[in-house]
Amino acid sequence: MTEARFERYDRRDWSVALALALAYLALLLAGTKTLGYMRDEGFYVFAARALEAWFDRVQATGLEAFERASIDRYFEPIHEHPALMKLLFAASHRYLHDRWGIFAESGDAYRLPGMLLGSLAVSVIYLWGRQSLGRAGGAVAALSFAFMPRVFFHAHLAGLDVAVASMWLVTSFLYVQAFASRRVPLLVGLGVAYGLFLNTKHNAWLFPFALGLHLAVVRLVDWRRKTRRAGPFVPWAFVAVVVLGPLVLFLSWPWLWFDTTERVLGWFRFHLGHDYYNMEFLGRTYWKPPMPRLYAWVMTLGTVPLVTLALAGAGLFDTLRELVRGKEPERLVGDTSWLVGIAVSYAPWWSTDTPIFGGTKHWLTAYPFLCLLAGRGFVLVTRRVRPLLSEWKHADAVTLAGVALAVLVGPCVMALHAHPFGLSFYTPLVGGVPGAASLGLNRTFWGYTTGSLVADINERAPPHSAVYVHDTALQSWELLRADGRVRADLSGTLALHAAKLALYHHEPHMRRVEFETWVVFGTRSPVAMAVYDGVPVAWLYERPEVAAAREGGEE
Amino acid sequence: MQRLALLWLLVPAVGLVELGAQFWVSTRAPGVSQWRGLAKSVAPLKRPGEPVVVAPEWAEPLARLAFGDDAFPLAELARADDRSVPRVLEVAEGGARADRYRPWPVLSEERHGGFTLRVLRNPEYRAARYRFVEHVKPGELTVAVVAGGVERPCEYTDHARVTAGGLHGPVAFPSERFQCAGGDAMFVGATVIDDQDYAPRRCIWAHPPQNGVLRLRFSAVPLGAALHGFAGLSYFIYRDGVGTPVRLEAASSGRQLGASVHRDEAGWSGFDFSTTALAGQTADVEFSVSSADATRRDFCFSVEALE
Repeated sequence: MTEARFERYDRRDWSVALALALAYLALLLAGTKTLGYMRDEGFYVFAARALEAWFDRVQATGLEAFERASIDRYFEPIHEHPALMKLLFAASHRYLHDRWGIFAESGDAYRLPGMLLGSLAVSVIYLWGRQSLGRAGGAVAALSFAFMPRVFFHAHLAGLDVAVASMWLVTSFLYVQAFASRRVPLLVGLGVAYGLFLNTKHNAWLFPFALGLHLAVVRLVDWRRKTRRAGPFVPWAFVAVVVLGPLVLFLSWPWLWFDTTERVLGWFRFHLGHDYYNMEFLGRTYWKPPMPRLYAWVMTLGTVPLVTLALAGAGLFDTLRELVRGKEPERLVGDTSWLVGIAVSYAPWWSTDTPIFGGTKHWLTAYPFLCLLAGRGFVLVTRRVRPLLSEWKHADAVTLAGVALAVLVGPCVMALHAHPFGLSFYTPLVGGVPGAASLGLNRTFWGYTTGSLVADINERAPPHSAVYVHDTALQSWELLRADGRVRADLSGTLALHAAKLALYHHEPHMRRVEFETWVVFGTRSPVAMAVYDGVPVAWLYERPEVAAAREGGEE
Repeated sequence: MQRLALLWLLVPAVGLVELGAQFWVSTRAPGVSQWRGLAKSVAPLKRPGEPVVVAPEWAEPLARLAFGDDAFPLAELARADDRSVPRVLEVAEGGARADRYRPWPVLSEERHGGFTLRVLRNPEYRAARYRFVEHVKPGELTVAVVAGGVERPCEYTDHARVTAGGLHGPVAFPSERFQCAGGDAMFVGATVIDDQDYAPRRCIWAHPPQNGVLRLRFSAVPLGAALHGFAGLSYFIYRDGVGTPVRLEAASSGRQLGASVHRDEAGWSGFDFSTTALAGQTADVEFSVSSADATRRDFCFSVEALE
């Protein structure tokens, strides 16, 4: 049975884990300047600004800032999502941008916590993989995750999705370490981790169900194998999660300190009865149930590099075979947690009532485990391929390096190529971006591709004019302006008739906005376009009289 | 065993093949400069009344960017359907085809770099003698709200405030319109709505009044064998189908030509009224629009008098 095994890591492992995290963080930071701001980032930044004001209040009034009036006022914005990430966004901005000037752009400071959690996930995957698969397997798993194009995109953001995937991974990792343990510090750490996981996003509600399923499978296999159980039937780790987790959530999310029952129920009600937004899938726009059952699977196939899926398939084969054979009993707890992490993350999309509006981000929590399975597949493949090279010098190294390169270069190229159009990216399996457009798969959402048109906006907009921002949240537009990426004299507007330029971010149901632009501006011809692999993603209209005046002025 | 081991090489092979495929798929579609380069070849082939269609359909915005408004008049881009379109100019990337036009005979075909330009003939073409949406003008149309036997004219203006509701609001309200009493939306004018495929449809906005009927009288209409029409409300806004149906009636020379009842969930839906008895004549045509409950009845219709 698994016992806590941190001590098995040596300095080299910690160094590799740290190097992976730092390299990933550097790569993410290098890409922020070309990436516009998502709608949700605008909203979270709005909430974070309220929390920055709360920081000031804490400093000015001390304990008074923790009284109900203050908590209600500053924690109310976007209270349908818990506080942890918003507090981190706020702290990062307040200190790393405002106070210490480490980041020149507000946006980078707000995004840093999300990037750090993405980087943390990469290192934890490596460490877990190192423990279960060896260094090469761990590294392949970690890099497969880092270079999943959609993960790479979301890891840049001041958002919750990579953060919650990271928290699920970290909590699972700790749970597996603590599964048969009675070490109080480890159990407390696990409980705290789950509390913070709960305080990240509501995906955490599924985690106890995942642990229940995990426990059932482990005990069933134990019983079948007639293994002598170490520790109680229900491990202390499980108790730590369900007892300490909610307590930590309560302590770390001040919004819940008052009207606790009503606010917890409100949190549940909001997400269990979430509005249905529009999402295009295979040429049809879904906006009410029944949602297509194939959605999650087709989108996974269309956005995750095939080679990663092939490796994960090989890993799944090896894992299921081992579950049946039981030759390596120490794998049971960990491997089962990977399978359960994937199954439970995808489970809501078996229901046709589950909204699909967020695309792949909904089941991003499955991807760390998918990549650990890919690492397992990598180990299996190299083990099987190695005999073919038995007469080569350095056959082990050649096999490892050759297979690793073959399975990682593609995802790396795809992830880098996906930037800054991450939500528009599709793999060659569906014909890439043009193939996906022909299949009628969603091309973009969240209005962030304004970031790809700022140069045209800055060049064309008359002084002190308004730009119709369409799907870009006004708060996101303000971030672009605050960062100096959009001219300071330009204002964002949702009143098309008041605008001199108009943006359009393509989704079929949004086309009516483009038709409005045709009538209001009197032109059907965009003047600039964000084109990704030959596919139009977002475009810009300019009033013909504005264009004429500008061209006249240039002459 | 050796052979089985070879099978495992398929996994890294998948990685290499996928890498090659990634390079191919990411470079195969033409970019903006190639589209711009095509403009000179398209211009001589583009004839008035013969719309440009693009294959694949998602590339159409690129064509609009590259070719400009002259190649995409609003009347063609947002036409009601293809019945009165004699031919289209298909601009295709590589070997792509516009599915809707596959059955149309190819009259000519030219290759220009990575593009194919095809002129296609409509096998079911019927000439339009009159398109009502092009005659929403004083002198050709009078508009009035008729209630309780009282007729209240709607005055024409060409400088009304142009507005648009964004994603969740009303469609664009044009500056040129016959404005009726009862609020900004109570007017008759040409605009564009979205159909059930979220495609553009140019039409005559005709919001019915809460009491009575909205009456549009087009003068001196050259009639043919039929009035061919479509009606709808912005599909995105009204697709729930909870609104009260809207009734459209057509009459000419004291004769009822037909009536159509529109339900929101139907989207952009068609109707045909026979005018065989009046074919060849020029006469006034009157449309009446009404609803039992006219709350948010953002009704829009398009009619052609066909040969």
